[in-house]
Amino acid sequence: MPLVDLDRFDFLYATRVKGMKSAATRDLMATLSRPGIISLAGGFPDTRAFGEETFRELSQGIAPDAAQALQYGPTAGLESIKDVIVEVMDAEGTPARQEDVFVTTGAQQGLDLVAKVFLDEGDAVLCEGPTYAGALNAFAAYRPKIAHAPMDRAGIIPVAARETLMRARKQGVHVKFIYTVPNFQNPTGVTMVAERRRELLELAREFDLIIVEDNPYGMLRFEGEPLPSLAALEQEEGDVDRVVYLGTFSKIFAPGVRLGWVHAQPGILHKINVGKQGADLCSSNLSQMMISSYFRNADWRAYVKRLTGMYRERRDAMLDSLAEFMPREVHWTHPEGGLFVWATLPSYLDTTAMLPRAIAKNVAYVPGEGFYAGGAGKNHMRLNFSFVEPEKIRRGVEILAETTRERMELRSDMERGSRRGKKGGQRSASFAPGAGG
Amino acid sequence: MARVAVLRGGHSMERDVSFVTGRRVQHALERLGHEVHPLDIEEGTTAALMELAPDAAFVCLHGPGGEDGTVQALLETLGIPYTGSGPLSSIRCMDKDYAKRALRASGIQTPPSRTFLRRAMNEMGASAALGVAADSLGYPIVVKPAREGSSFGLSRVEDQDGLLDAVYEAFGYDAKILLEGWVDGTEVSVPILEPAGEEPSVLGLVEIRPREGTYNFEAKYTPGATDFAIPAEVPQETAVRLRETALTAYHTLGCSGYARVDTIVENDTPQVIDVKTIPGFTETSTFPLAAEATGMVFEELVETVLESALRGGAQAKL
Repeated sequence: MPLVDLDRFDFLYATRVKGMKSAATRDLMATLSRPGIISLAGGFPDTRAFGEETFRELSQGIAPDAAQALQYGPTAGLESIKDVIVEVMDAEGTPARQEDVFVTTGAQQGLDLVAKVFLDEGDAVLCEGPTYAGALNAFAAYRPKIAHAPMDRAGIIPVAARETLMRARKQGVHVKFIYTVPNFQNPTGVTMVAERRRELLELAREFDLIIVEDNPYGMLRFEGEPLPSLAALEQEEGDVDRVVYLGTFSKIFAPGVRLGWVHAQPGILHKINVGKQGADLCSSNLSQMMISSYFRNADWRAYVKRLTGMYRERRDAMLDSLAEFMPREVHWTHPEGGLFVWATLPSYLDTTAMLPRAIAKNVAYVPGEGFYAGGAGKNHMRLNFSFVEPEKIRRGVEILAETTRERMELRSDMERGSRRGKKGGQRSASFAPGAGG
Repeated sequence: MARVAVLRGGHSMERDVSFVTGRRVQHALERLGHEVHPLDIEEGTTAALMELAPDAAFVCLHGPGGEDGTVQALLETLGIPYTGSGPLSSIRCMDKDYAKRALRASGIQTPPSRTFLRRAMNEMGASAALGVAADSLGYPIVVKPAREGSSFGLSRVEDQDGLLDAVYEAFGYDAKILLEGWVDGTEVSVPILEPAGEEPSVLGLVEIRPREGTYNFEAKYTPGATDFAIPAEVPQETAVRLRETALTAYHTLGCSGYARVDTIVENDTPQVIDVKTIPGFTETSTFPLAAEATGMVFEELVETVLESALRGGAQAKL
């Protein structure tokens, strides 16, 4: 049969890759490059703030060490960058020892390595619901089950997390770790309160689990007092044990250098080291030396302060315009830092189905369902404020509000019409109960 | 050698696919020795076209804004010859409601359908008629936006329970939607090419066999997600009928240059589902694959399409 074979190696692909599908959402996201679009969909820090001159000086500064910068380096990272990491963690209030630090190619690699080290197929991970979509992606390659424990405005709900763990135990599912983004979480912007951090740690002890604490945004606090990290809380009572802390330079310096780190106890780091050797041997020396030089010689705290000042202004613009334009049925989080606001629409609205309307009007956001493993979260949207100027945020939110209102009106028009149809004795359609529209 | 503006990108949901088509066409034109100027659809596009004054525009846009007559009317105004169909034919094909009415009037089989407009929902309580409309078609039905390419916003509805939700989703993509009777059968795509000075003819019959489930947006553009059989494995008589039907549809809708007629063959009768005036020219698109199967390499296909625009001059198409 003359079949045109478009992908002739299909029979060779690993099952796990065959299962990986490009989400419809991602196809929609492809339209984001269109000219004039206001994208509230990204998760980008604003690297325009860094400046050409600083970058040039930085490059010149490491030029004398060109040979080393262009060479392979140790798998766990250069000593100089580890010193910087200890300093950064200290500034965040987490005591760290140089020997417990392991450099990775972005915290994203940290997520992959942790999953690689801990997960067998069919094991489970307890995540916040919703959780960082990139973590779900990283874990997916190892084919775990994902259990979400719901959150409220104080973070993951420990009682619910406990129930989930009990249920898993009963079902014989082996939960290996809890994954959490405690500060200004992606996607919700919510910060876990101190009390719950302790409870979560206690829960991990009770069930003898690892906690993967992902803290990319901790330094981007606009208001309120910084809270102790889970890694810091653990160390109040002893050595580094079950908390695996992931940090990154992406938000306090720049994501382009692709540099993050894992802070954990030596046993875990040893396994991670083996995993990284297979993945990429070592992270870029060039990036590590650039960062070391910058953090040693420049006022990095002032840069972070400048960034947070800018993001704060943009968050305010977003919260103000949400309050001004959104229908009263819509509510949203009030992040004290970070990059994101999480908006909740009436339960019948499906933000994925609404996205094309918004894109047609030149605004984009990320629909909520991508932040859940099982397709929940359809009536939510993640809005990014860090990368867009305040005036554009305002215009973007205004258009989003308009689109939301239109969808709500259509829904009620359709419901009204259907009810009338029923009165007329006709067989008439109605919306599925509880289903998204 | 001609100076050719390749229009690609645009604002529709198929922007990305348009870039893939555009890039491939651009490279082919370059290899053919033409002077190529790729352009996106943005504020300065008209000014750029006026300044460039190309010998022709190769339109690689898919979906609303690019395939619906908008660009074609402008090019006509600017006196720039362009590839493919004219404004009226474009909107007739883009809008499945218009297309199906015209096809039916010419005696071409197309699945029965009912049209609903957002405005009627709002001003006349039209959703009261949804249930009746679906019943008259008989389940299962397909609910889809009238003017969206690919399979965005399309759902199959098994019974009344899923109807309103499907309608609501389709309205996310367009202010006009269709409820359409479900047709079961072999999917056959019929690419038609109309070289300059010749009658349009069928390039070949392409049978589409999705590996799993329906042929959706993802399957359409993911290598390996779909198998194509060229020529389609249909009885000789059906093949003849498919060719006739596709050519009649092409003429009825007033297409020019090239087009692709998508059908489903139910009980040996081809039912026309959709006519694309700017079919994809990507590596996985049926049109270029069918051309290759006849021994026509991609460059030759691109040259033929371009030639029909150049030789047709700037005279008004339908």
